[in-house]
Amino acid sequence: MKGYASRVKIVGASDRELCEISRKNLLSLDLAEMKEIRKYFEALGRQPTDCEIETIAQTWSEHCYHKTFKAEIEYTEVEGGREKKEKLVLIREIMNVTQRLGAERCVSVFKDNAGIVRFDRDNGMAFKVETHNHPSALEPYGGAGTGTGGVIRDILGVGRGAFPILNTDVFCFGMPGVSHSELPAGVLHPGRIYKGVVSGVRDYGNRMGIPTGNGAIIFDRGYQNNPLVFCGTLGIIPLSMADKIVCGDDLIVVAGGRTGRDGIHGATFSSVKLAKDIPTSVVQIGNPIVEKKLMDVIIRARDLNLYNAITDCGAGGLSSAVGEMGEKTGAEVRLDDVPLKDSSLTPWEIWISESQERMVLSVPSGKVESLLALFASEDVEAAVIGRFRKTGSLDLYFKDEKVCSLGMKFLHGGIPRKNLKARFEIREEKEAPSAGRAKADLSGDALGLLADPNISSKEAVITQYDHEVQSRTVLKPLVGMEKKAPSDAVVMRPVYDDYRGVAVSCGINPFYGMKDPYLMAGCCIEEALRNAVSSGAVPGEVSILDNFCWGDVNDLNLLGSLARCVKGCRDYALAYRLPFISGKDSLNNFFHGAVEEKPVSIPGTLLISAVGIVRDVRKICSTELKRKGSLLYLCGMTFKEMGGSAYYRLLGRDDGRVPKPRPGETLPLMEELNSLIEDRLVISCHDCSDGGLAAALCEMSMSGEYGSEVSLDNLAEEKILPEEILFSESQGRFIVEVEKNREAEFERRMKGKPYYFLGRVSGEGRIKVLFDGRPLVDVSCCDAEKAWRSGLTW
Amino acid sequence: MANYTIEVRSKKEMPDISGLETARGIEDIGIACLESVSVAWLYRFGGDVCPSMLREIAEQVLIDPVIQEYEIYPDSPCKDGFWTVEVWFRKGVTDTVAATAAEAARDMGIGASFSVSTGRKYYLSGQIGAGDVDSIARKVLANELIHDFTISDFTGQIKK
Repeated sequence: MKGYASRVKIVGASDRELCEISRKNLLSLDLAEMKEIRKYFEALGRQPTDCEIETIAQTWSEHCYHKTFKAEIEYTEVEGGREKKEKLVLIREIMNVTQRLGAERCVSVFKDNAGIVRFDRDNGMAFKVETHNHPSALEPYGGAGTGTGGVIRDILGVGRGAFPILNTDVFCFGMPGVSHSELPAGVLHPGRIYKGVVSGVRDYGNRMGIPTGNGAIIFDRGYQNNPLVFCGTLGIIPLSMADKIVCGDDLIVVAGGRTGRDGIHGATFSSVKLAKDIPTSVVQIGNPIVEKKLMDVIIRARDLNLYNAITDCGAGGLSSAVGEMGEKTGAEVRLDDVPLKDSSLTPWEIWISESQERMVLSVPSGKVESLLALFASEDVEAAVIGRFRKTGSLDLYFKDEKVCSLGMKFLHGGIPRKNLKARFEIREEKEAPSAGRAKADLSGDALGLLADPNISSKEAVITQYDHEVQSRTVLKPLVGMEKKAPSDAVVMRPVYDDYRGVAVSCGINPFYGMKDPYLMAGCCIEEALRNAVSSGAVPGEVSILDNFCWGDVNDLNLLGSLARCVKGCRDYALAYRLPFISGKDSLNNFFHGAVEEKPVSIPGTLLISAVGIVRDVRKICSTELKRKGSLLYLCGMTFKEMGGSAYYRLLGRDDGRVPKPRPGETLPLMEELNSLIEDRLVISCHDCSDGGLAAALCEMSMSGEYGSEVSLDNLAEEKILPEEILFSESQGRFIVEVEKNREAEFERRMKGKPYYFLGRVSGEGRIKVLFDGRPLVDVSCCDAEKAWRSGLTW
Repeated sequence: MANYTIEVRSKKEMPDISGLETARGIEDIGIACLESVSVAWLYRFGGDVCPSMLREIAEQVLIDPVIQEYEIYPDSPCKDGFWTVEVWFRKGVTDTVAATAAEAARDMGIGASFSVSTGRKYYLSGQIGAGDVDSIARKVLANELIHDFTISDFTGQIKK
């Protein structure tokens, strides 16, 4: 032993000492896991090195291994005083959906860096959405930028490499108006986080030459201490490149950026609470120019068939990348051959550093010279750092000293499965009776809703992103003559000489989850599907991704709410026939500062992202009204479902029932709508989501400044007030515009499905909603636009 | 061996977009009495460098001569009537702009041994005191997780 690695005294350590070792070294391993490690080294008859302990901690981290999702959970659901118990393994519930649906379009799911679905005869679409929450809370610009850089590398590292064609971004921030004095020590102001995060995503995506075209922003005080940053990337990959195989004697090549002391402990840090005094080293700083060069040269090397397998260096750095690639073989790495930014790095730091812009390739020895020459010709640094070996062992050397020797079987299969308990009590939510006088004028309420930061225009963010680069974007995030109306989805044309396209959309609504995570899951799934379909995607050709961001899952009830949300995902994805192709969880998003008595968790948040096939991008549909005099219909039924709605939040009300998705009625409606859009009977379409019919109608009307005049009389029912019709967020609804000479054909095709005549595109520049002959809402398009643009001016 | 700083800033007749954006961020924290905010980019060179070599680097690599000007100095000068806040990366934080600047200088054929680090300098004027400037530095200009900062008043006296 020459002393480059130090020994960690685990064999012989007491349970208390094991916990202390885990805490002190930021390993995020619990006692059961530490005991398993002690047992392994007891059998070997030696103490582990620091490098070995760190390797195990990275591989077994919540971020890399998803311990909670793989745990056996004894789940108790309480409804009306009655308890129902069941055993759940969350990851199995999600993966079983895809298996049960058996969709032929799923090419590679849940086994690689991203999911791949078939696009056409030759190509697949690879899609992945990641989170970068803790880094963005601490250093918003760097955290969000490297989140984008990381998910782009996931796409570069799926199969034998996909080419990124689109980025997506979804953010959850605290309320913009909070005063600095209300913030706990160590927490950045939501305004600062917002600006930094948007700049980080903008700079990384724009500099990489990848359009950013779909997203959402949620504001709620629950995210004040712990913002959420979801970054997604869609790529195109030849189907012949969708698989990878690491061969036993391949060389290990690391390419791209150099390794430094940045991002040390990122994987394990993501599993701990946020608090004051976080070390500088957990922050990663990105360099998109390096990644752009890396991306371009990898695609060239892929097409020249110069390597057998590839993956990215993400959380856990080389430890995770080489460890996962060599799981079925074994690997031998010489850490002193890794190109470094800083020569003072210790072996374990080199091994787990999360320095950005690095990829690992498995290269046959006969091709390595050509590969290195190609990388050098593009000014991308690459180095051979070792070899995959059929030894079943991970062996690391530093200057001829063996600093790590771990059995792959133990490393990847030795983690004890967790047994957890979870409980959720279903609250019985009732709608207050709609007795009493309805409000006479709802113009102010409608304008108030439009100005809500959760609904208002995201133009200030969207326009910072390049959504044109690569010239594949057909339906852009803002549409209409003056680019004012928000699109439901972005539509891309992945292959330049083909009109076949893909729609990418999302669904997110934590406000429903605060009342019932099960229905939130259904609503998010339906919203993502609705957005894709209203833009022209075929309902039977849509696939989805999940991202769960939850608080302290050591809390019985919070874990219960997560389990209930997963059950919702399972049931509604099956009902809507939507296979999950990839997913990610980010747990323990909570803050525990000096003055907080208990940890403050974020609202349980589910993001569903969807990718759907568009048969012909010339036959898609946008949201802005197109022709004066054409007819407006509401497709889908409206119920009194005000719980968690934007309108009740505006009124400060916490009661009401969360909207219930009704796939039995909605799916046939969507199928018909898709055919009406393709046949151009429907010339504009917008789904009703946050803010209900009112918000959707305003967004459609003000973009072309034609305005609209509609009546709610056809929707009137005894037990529902006009404002409830206007602001209810019932699912499965679309406002559609139909040309005036085609209404008979439209009504004939819609026979048997729920639809209601609303009114006309007026051409008067006003938005008028009448009920029983009197105006409920009467505002100018100009005032509506002013309100809609006022929400994000800080 | 010497240390020099190249300070790059907008020409007086040009709008200082970063300054305007920073001013807005300062207003957001409730300090509305600033008369002006301007931002300069700092490149600190250490090692085997001299002013003539740095002039070449500044003119060929660091500035856009249409809208920017530069100054080279061994010690940061003070400016009458202004508070200044200098923000630098903390030791160990990756400085990608510095790495690119060094690479560009070497591409120019400069073979000397030198190091580069980058920072920003903010000039603030108005009816503000040391407490306000400290608050601005912490809440708007620097993130103490990755940055160190120093505050000087118009006499050049360092407050932190």
